Amino acid sequence: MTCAEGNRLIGPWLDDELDVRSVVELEGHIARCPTCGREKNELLALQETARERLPRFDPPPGFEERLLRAVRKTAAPRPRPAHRWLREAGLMAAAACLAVTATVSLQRSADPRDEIVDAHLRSLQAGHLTDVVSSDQHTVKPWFQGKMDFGVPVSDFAAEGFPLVGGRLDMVAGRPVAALVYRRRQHLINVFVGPAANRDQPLRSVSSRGYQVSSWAQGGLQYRLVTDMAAPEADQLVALLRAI
Amino acid sequence: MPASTSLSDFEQALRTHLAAAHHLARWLTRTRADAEDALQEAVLRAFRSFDRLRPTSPRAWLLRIVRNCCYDLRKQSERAAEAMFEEDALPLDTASPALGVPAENPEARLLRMADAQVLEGALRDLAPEYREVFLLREIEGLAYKEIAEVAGVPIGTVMSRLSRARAQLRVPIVASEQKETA
Repeated sequence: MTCAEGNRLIGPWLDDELDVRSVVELEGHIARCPTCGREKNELLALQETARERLPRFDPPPGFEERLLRAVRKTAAPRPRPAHRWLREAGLMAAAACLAVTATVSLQRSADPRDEIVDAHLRSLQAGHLTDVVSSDQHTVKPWFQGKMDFGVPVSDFAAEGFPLVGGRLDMVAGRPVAALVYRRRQHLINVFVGPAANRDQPLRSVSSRGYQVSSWAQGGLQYRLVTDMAAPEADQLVALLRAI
Repeated sequence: MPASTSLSDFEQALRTHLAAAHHLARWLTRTRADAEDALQEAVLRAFRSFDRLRPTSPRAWLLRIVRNCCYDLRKQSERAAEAMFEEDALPLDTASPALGVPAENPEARLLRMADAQVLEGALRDLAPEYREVFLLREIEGLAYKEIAEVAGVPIGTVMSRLSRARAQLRVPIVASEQKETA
């Protein structure tokens, strides 16, 4: 190891970000090279000084409560004025009023379609698509037991071109739901399953922000399917699920 | 309506990470009042997206919003003051000594005794993007990956900024020690 290489690794070494092999190499080099040894000691001293001596700025007393009060005020539901759109247009033009933006976003997320699309997008973005990864329905189904207070029907439709990818727990409209993930070529499909308000409810499909959302209730369970696939293909999976 | 669920989840996340958020805001703004303003704005912003995003790492997510709000506030006040000089545009690339060049004759034990005030001053003089990585690493103990998330830069950039920050911070401390022992 050259000094230049060693120097580059001292920082990551201090920060516990080096792999074992590099640690061994670096420590070997430092033991032989007084210049790099001094470099290491200085950076270590800087680290210790920073950690032990730099002032900590704690929040002033009451600050936390003040912040939380502001948040709760934002979150409080407010009555809808008669000419809401007019008022919103005016205020949004002002664009400075935090409370109103929050009201708008709360109203938006209250639309179940948006919530479902949001839940779908969240699952794709957060690197949190599945808690249990398995194409085997006999692995996924028991995984949900004890996590949900209802039985989750899980079927793999690989033979029909919709292999099961896995499942996870999610929230839709503030309620815990089981999310089943299926794949069709490069498309992912989230199927959210939760207890239904009515035992049965006919199928309704709508399009929202480029995603198709299909919802229905059967056997006391509410199903919501969301995907960016074209409608005819999405409908195939809906039909398969409804035939379980 | 998930408002109450998300509100209590959000409150919990906020209570857990408020001290770190406040500390960072104090270091990234000029005054205590600025820090509190930035933090309040950050918390409201955070709340608005919390329910939608359900962040996997609430700490990194909250700190990211806090640092963005601090920078927004700085920009505003700089514009308002029609800044005569660009304090934060320190060209560190040219100012920073090459990392491989050892300082003249500093001893580690002297550095350990370094006055915290010297370090604090040096840290305040750093450009904010260098200051923030140093603080997130040394004070908040964040891993490189989390720092990258907070600062919105690749891990390689975190490493080079951290290395430059350390090189910069070491200089005044060593100088101060040499003066004292001279």
